[in-house]
Amino acid sequence: MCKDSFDKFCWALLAVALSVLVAVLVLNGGRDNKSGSGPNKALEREMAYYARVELINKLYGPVDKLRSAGSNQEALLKLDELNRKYPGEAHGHILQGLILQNLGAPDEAIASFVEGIRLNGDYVDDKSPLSRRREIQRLVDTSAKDITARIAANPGNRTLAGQLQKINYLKSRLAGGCE
Amino acid sequence: MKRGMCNRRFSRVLLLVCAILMLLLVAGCKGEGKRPVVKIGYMLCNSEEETMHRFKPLTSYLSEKVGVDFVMVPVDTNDFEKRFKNGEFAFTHTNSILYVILHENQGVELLASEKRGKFGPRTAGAIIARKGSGIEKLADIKGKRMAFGPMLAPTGYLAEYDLMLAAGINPENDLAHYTIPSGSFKHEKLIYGVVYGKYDVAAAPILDIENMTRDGKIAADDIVILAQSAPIPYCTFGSAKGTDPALVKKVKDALLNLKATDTGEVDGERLKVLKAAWVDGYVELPDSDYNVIRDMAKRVNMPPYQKY
Amino acid sequence: MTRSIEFWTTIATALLLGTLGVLLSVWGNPENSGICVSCFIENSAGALGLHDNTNMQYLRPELIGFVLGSTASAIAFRDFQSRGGSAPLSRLFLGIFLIFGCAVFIGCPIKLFLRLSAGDLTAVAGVAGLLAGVWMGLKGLARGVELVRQDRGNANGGHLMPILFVLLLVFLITRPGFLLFSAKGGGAQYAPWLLALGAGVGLGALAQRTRFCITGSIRNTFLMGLRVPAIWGLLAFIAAAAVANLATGRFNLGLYGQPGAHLEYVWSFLGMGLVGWISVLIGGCPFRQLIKAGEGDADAGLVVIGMFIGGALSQSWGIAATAAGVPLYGKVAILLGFASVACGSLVCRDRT
Repeated sequence: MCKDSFDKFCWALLAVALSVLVAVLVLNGGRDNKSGSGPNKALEREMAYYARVELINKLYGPVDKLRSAGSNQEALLKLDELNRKYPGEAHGHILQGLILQNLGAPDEAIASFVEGIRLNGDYVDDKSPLSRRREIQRLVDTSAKDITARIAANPGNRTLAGQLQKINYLKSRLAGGCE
Repeated sequence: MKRGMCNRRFSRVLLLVCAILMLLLVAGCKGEGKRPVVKIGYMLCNSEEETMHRFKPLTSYLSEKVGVDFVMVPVDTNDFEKRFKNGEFAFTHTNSILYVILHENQGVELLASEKRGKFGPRTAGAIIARKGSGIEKLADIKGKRMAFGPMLAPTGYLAEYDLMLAAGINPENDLAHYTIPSGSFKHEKLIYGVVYGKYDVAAAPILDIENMTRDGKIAADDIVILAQSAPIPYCTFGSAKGTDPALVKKVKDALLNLKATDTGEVDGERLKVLKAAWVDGYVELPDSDYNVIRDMAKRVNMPPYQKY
Repeated sequence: MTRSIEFWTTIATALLLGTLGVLLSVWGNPENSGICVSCFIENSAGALGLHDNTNMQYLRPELIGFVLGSTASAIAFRDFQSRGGSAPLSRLFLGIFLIFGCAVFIGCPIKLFLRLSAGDLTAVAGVAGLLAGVWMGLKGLARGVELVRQDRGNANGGHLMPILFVLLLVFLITRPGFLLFSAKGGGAQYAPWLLALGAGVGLGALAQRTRFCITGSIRNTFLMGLRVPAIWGLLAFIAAAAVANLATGRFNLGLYGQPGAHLEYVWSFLGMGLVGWISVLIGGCPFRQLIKAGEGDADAGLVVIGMFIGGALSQSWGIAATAAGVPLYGKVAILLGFASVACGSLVCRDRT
């Protein structure tokens, strides 16, 4: 592939272009990230995510405070006010699930978790600061045992069948997979 | 001759047109009065007017879906069992304690349970005080003025009475006095009564607290919850023992399949059934889920287990 | 057959694919997704900024390994041959629909059998769909549906895909700022990159030598019965994966609570059906397309480009199914896929 002068020219151009490319990369290596002038989407995205987490914690802080103090019903009422303000926010559903679980309403807690996780899977992701995986896993484990007994005692009950579907959805999300 | 034939042909055509018109008229009729009439007894919630307004679209929807003419019968809580016993209605819509009474005494069978509020087909009873009143825990209510809901209210009386007994407080002896507000909207009255200082504490259904905070009538911060019962089933549809099983199944299916978009006709207008009834839907709870109420009624010495 | 070297290399490739398919999950890849070409492509498309699902962004080293392993093997055994020119645009679109089918099922044919070998019975609908799709594709081939013949020669640009994947390898190592990596979700679950790359290179090289491919194995079995090594390879792959799953405690037999699975069996069937049919038309499953692209097949390279576009669109347009089920756009994409394949079959059919 080096028959005539045009071939030689192309080879030379290739060599020059690659050499200059290597030189440019070596001379500017790492500057992109350090100066912050280039696109560092990952960092920007992480900052936005953590800012979101902070905002969520701030917005829902009063609810968490009431919940930690054992005032679950007051927390639920407070949360209801916030849920009306931010109806599409998954965090509200997850908190509602946690509160309802404490108040002895596991079926409704499961339904709230399903709503929340459908909106945002971070709540079953160990790596997310929003993760509530452990609490959700615990409820799913106990509910799965309980629902089997309830269905066996009430065959053909459509409400219990619907509840089983919700539990299975959560089990599937907790099992992981590529989502 | 020709004219005679023509006349005959004309009268035949006229006859045919008349027959078609008659058919069309008959087809246009709804056939009212031909369908069986079945009555549903609705326990009055806050007032008769409110109950009728809420459940008219649902009753109309059931008539359309089931193919019988359902008629609403508004019934006072205290008269419910007597009127049911007299055979005034075949289907019942009551609160959960009244369902238990009818089930135990009259054999009423569970059809569907109503979903409303945060606890779905259940709700809880709470003992509340005004925030900042100095009453912070259940033990503080001794010697205070308390308001209860009506005696047959599962989350306005039964659950709270049971909570107090469990905490070692005898409502008959340990309070300054207790009262039940008169007239309609009793639950709202007693919650307002606490917030505005008429009562020190009250037995309030969580569902009413949820509704009043949502409507902005009170704020979540206005009250403190001293104790709260476990969630218990609430409003319930039932059917009289011996009702046609096919009819019962149709009613049950219609209730369980109700969606937010389903409508019923009231005075020529189509209204959304669930929205009008303030209900989120109907679910199929097993009768054993009502055992928690049976246990409460036994502890509190209330019907159907009352002992004198 | 058992005396031929082809048979044993195929079995060895399949055993390695099954074992690594499970082990890569053990080492960090998502559950049942130790090897999933469609998931890897969706992840890699996200890492390159082609979609914005922050849970699905990671430049998968296995993917790079498959292509470069194939290239290395092809060069070493003098198999590398630039070829192409067979209905390039059609292949690009078929590559897009190939990933749509996988996205609706949640996984490529390799993951289909990995899921099944982990006890996920929801995958049975996918297996049925894949078999039906391959059968339909064969029916088409038998009746003259064929994409035009390939040309050979450097002008086809068969070397471009290996170069592109070398560039991706450079990106993986140097991690420039424009590359996106998930901090959570499936994209944040990965095996150590050197291990993943090594597994990819090894499997890529072996697959290049043996031409092992899931849909190809099924196709050959339909055509020639049990006389072909490929079917034994497929069975060895499933057996190896099942043993590995049992040995690592990842076997969970049942329909419910399976990772990355939904219960919409009809759509699982149709999704894999579409994948099977397209795979027969273009000569191999998504994995095979990567291997062929690595050995200089520019047509397969265009399918790979199409798969990247499909991976990006699956996430951006909400086509990909989740445990909650198949979204409306996923269903629409599958139906459009079948419509396209049907139209293509009508147009490309040689009726002489």
